[in-house]
Amino acid sequence: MTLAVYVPAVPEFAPVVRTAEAAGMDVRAVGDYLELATAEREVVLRREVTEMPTAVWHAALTGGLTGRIVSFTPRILHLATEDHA
Amino acid sequence: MTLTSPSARPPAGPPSPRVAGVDHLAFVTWKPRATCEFYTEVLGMPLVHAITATGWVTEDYPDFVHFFFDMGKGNRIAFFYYFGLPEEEPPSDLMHRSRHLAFHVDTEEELLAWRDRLKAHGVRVTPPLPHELIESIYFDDPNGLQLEITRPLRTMSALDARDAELTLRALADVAESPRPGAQALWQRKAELVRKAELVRKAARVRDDKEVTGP
Repeated sequence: MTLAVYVPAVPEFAPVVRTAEAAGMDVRAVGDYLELATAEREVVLRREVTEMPTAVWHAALTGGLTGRIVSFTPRILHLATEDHA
Repeated sequence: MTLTSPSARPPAGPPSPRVAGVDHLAFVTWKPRATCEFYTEVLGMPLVHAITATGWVTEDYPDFVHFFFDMGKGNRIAFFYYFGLPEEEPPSDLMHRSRHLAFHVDTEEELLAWRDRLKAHGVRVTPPLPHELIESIYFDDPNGLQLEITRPLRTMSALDARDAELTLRALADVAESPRPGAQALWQRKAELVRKAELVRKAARVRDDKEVTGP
């Protein structure tokens, strides 16, 4: 299954979208959300790409996740498809 | 909050009663002098009412004083002082941070002015901390009650409410599952987001058919 993150289409999550784009993820609108998706089996988002408040970074997955979390630290968010070891 | 379909209609009958905001929040203090000085002199909230009584509420209820400060907009914060009641242990750090009271200001200037005022009175206060929709400063009252002053970063919208609905539906599902956790919540939320989109698309197709006719 595609690896995807959903973020609410609101201003405070725009840095999450830019960070995902910098990681090569595609962006499309899905209702109230932006779907950040990749055909890759894993992706690493780096917080240093944008200036983002700590609280927003740690809420980056609040819109939903299709996939699983490999690592979620104050600096990186490493995601993988659920079937990827 | 409803965790049912947004299209579900409330049952017919008389209109549901609604409350109109906060009348008062009540806490317990063992430091009446410091509490009164803090709320009136530091926070500028007038003392507006006090009751003194014997403990009539239950058989072992202590004699007490119950006093109220005006927080503005008809909202009051109240404290009980109980005679002879041993002081409680302070809460854990997590509970201290979680059970808090946040006051509202409209602008960044007001938030910073409050920070200056608190520091001028010797109150330890955090720098402004931005969250998603609000930016806040945090400090404690003399009782160890965590207080917050917060300003909006943007107006809450209908989208925020729809998103909250999906979050709470996901939480209700995951909290009752064998292994609740943030990852499970976000995975369930993604399913609900995609489902909501399918429902929205189906409704649009139906509406289009109704407009164009058979």
